[in-house]
Amino acid sequence: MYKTLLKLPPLALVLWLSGYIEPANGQTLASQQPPRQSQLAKKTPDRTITGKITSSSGEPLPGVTVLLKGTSIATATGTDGTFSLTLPSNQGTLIFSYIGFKTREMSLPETNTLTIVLEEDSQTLNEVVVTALGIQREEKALGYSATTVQGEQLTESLSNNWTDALSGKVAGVNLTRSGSGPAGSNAIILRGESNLTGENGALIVVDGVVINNGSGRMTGSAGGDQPVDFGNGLNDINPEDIETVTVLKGPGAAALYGQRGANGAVVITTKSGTSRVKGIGVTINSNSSIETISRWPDWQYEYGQGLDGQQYYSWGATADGPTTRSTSSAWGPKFEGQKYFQFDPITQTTGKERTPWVAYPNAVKDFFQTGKTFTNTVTLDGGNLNTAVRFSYTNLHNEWVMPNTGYKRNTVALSASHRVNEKLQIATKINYTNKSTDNLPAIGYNNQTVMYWTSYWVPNGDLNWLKNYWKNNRAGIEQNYPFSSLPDNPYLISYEMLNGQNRNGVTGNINATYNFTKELSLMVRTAIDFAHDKRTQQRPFDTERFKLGRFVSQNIYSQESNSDFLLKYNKILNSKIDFSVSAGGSHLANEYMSDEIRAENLIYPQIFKLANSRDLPVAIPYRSSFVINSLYGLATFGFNDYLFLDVTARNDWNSVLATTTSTRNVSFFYPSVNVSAIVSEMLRFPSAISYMKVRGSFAGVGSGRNTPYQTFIGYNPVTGFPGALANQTTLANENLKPLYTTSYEAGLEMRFLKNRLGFNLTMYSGSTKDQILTAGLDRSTGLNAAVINAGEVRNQGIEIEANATLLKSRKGLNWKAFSTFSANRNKVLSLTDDLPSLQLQTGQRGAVEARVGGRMDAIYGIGYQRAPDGQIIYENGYPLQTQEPIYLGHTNPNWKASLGNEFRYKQFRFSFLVDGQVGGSAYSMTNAINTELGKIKSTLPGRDNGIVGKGVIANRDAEGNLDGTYRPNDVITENITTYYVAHAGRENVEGNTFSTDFLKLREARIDYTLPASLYKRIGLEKASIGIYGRDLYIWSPWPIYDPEFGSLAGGSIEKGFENAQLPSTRTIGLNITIGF
Amino acid sequence: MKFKKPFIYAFCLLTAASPACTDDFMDLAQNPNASEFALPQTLLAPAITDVLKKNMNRAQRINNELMQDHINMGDVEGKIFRYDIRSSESTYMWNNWYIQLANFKDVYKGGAERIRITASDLAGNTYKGIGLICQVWVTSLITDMYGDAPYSEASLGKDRLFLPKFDTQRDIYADMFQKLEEANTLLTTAPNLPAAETSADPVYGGVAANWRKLGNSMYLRLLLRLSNKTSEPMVNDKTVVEKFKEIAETRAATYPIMTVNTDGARINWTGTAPYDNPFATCAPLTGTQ
Repeated sequence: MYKTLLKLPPLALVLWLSGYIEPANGQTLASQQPPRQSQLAKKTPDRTITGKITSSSGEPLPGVTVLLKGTSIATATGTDGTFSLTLPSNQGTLIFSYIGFKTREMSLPETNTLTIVLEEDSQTLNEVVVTALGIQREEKALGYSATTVQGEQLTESLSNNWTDALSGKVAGVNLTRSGSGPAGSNAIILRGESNLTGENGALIVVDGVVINNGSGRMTGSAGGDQPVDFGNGLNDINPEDIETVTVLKGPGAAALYGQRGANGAVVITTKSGTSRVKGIGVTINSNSSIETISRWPDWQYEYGQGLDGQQYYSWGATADGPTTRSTSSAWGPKFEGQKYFQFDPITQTTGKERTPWVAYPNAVKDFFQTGKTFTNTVTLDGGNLNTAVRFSYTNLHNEWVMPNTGYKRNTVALSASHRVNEKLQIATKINYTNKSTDNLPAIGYNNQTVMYWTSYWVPNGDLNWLKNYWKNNRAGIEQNYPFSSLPDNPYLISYEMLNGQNRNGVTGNINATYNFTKELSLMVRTAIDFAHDKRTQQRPFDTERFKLGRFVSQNIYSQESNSDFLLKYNKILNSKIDFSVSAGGSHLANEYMSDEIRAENLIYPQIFKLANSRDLPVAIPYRSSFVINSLYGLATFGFNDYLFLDVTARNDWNSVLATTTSTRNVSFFYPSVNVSAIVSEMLRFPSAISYMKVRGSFAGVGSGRNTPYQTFIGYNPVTGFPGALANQTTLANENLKPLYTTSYEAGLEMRFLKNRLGFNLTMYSGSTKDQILTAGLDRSTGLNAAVINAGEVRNQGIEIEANATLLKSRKGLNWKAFSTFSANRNKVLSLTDDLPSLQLQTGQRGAVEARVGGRMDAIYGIGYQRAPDGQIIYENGYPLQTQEPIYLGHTNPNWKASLGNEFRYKQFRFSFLVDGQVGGSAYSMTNAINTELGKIKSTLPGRDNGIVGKGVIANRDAEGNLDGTYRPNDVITENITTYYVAHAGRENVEGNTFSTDFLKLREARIDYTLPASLYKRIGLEKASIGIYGRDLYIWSPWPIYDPEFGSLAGGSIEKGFENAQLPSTRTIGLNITIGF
Repeated sequence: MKFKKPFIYAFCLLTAASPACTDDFMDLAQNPNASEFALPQTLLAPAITDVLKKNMNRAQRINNELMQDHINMGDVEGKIFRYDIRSSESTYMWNNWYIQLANFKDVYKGGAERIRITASDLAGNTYKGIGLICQVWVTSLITDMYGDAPYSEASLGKDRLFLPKFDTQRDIYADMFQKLEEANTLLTTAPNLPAAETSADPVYGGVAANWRKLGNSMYLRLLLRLSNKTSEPMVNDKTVVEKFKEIAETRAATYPIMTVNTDGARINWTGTAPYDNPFATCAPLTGTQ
């Protein structure tokens, strides 16, 4: 190129240097080229070569790059595989390259029409992976584990939350769902939790924009009331726009992301426009799905409402006796065809006549409906060699399984890139999302939720009695609920106790890359992610919690902007050695504002406005901001294309560690080293071994975390009092230091039999120390807790991904299978000197506690008293419970595994995926309540004649002291309610702790792609139709709904304590894609 | 040579873009949601109200149910009216009283701070006196319920004192009497709270004399609790009996006590937040059974 340069006149040279013109000819903007230059280049007459490129099976290959070697004269093939290229000379070599195919070179032939067949690259070693900071690297050069999932794999079996589709596809990924309805949040945990408090989720990066603390921030509850999951920005990413998702599992991979990469990163690249020969491409994707509840509690319908021992029923005091209507228990009379005075839905009081005593087994199930989701996407894309644009619009409409819940989402995405000239490229991606809902379900064990009602509804209750949810002539003032005053009428909850949201969010970036020379380039980028979220919560008069109604309005604005630059220098020294050095920096600014105004009581019923407030409306403002500045560098060395070394270094300055008087702790530095060796290129292996790669990685990552004001000691305002303050009950720490994660990782990747079989094995060990903990204190300190730096937690584990092409034939049946396996072991190495244990979550009963030497996810709670041989000890016929909490299991599984299969036959494709986990357990509040209230079948044995529990009785000597021996229990219970409550009432944590092992038929799909000959004739470029199912079946000992539940707790999702979870659903859908 | 220019560009950019890495960090560390300082008038009302509400809540939950005065709406196990009382019930008052004790200590400190800022602002003394009386009130509840308890080092977590030592009940009582002496002295001369601050005192609307009566009446009540300690000097070489006699009779003018109903210490539950009756809300307070 520089030779060409010398031939240019000085003016052209100046223009070149300033980046305005392009010295080499080709497909550049001809109008900008001075005439002399084209004369110069025109030494020989132009020559136009046309051709068609196909795969070895004869299919046309679109998007193949055709390049004249040593120049920038290039083009790409169109969708029909054809190209046309004008060449200035008769000599040279053409290079044809395409991802997944072997690059082919050929010297210019005599003829001007070519037919090129590209061979599929069975090695597929040159797979490009998007790594930290968006740097594209060859997979073989990576010293750490990274798994890429293609966009199609995410949209194939679409659920409400696209991240569900990562389940079972990537080893080491743990999705924790909040299980909280249609728009529910979820967190992605990679390789187990290492932080004792919060912030264990992976970094989520969309086109270089980190969204965790902007639109990705989880804000569970609004209004200081029961939580409602309004979802996080991760759900709002339109799966149709996703090109690839790369999971960088360990700190080694994500070291360049700095402190926030310590938990690994999920790097999402959205689709860009593609160069096309002519016109624009239009793709229409339509997805319709229905959702039904897949698992119910095993409710009993043999005994009706009543307390233990009640032999009759009476709604209100009647001739039969005093009222028994106000309990929610079902320990009452058996359904034996008898008649009682019952509720009369017409008069809303006691019926005049005795009516038959019958069960309504479908009452709770009938309350729910079939959910429906319609997602329609239109994509336009097009461009030429220099410009590519992609536009997409997606509309989503969801009606969820709970009546009057669901949401709408509209997403507009634009991606544009333009090569201004050979040096400068400018690109932008902008994504606008509007999500709105009239009502999202309230969650948790709380009388504002439908799920609370499902446990409290009595077997002899007819759902129709509730449909008129107001008392006659008292609409808006008094609710109709014929039984206990604890739950609210579920129709009142669904149609009047509304949780609305309207959220507008924009995520986007603009970046420019300037190539100074072939070796040196600079990328500058600025990105912003912001969302404004308007939420309202209304409660009518006479709800059990808010007798005079309530109205809450909440405005949340969150914004994160990030500007960065990266200077890259690549050099190929000789045929053996190449290296690159990159240096960059970034400035991140985060801002969050929440303004909440509450009218705690209303004056006039059914008017939900702040103006209708009975008291002075209460204002609850919150503001926060922080800044992280960073500088980083990366050096890579490659030797002979089989030995690779990366070194990275990064320094962060995080303002959350500053105090008002000092910045001494804000700076922290950390390095990483990654090595990769392609052994199969270095040594000769038998031909059965096609590929072998060994890799190793070491990384240190510091973090100050993202919670501001943990260094600020002061007084907080007290809500409700004018100008009032109180001491903070969590003591801040002015000496807060960054925590530090050290991680080691080694991996082996092998492929056999021409890549028909392959596996990728990773072993890792990482520990996080100086954790930023909020340690609970005895209240005699005047504090609830203090922020401290302490503790060390280690995670060790193994991940295996394997795949096999079991059948391969061009015309016949193809069968591919893949499998993942991951196991993680977690150990608390230390806490603080005077802190033997740290409570991480508390459930309704019991707690997840980190104790030194134990696991971070250990469940402790009251359990059974047991004899030395493990049998339960009984007294008077009832089991005895421990006085102190005991260890009852751990929440995370010992291992997870998945198996996927894909069969292709001609135009058909069938695939399915099963996954499962083993070894975890959790506490079920729903089971406890249903047991206490006698609602489930497990409480049936012994109702009529009592029961003898399986266990022993402790023998006593003559003085009545325990003598240490035991005899089998032989006492028949007197009170069956007491018996079951002692076993599985909520206090007995052990009795309600169940294994969360499961095997799920996660995905199944059948596709039919129209034959090219058919759709070509009607002018289409592609057409396919598919039917899919998601979460089709669950096998699990977990008693109720979904073993993979999560509970939203503030800004994080916890597992371990199921708390009136929403029902698990199964999705069946139809997907149609048409391109033209 | 040919790389020179790009490198210069790059260097300039690097320097320009490279952030002044900790600029503004100290400003950013300033918490906009909280205050570094608190004057006593901001701390008093929420602290007193909280203690009272918590006391009433527990009285309702435990005493009233045990007395069969009323019955819990729930019909499942774990109900106090069925004498099913868990060990965790005992921690509720401990946990809440000590939290507010920290605020009452700051009411006293804040009173001193007001006088430091404006020497003529003698309402600072009123707050000091009120702060002492409230500390004694909460402390007496703690020690009467739990016996020996953290006291001299209690509620000092802010000074990173995380394991406060236990004091004997005897020492606690002796020191409470000293505090009441000090409060009586302070409130003798302290003015009523300025009109703008009467809402800071939901009990007496800032009338110093009433607080003084409350302090001394409480003094008598605490002395009564030690009425069998006849020989041991408890307050400034005086026995309990001697001190009682002094307050009630011999030096009654120096120790004014409550004499009429209007002297009574109470917070009126007006029904307007924050002064709403905890009984009106305590049943669904947790939203669950």
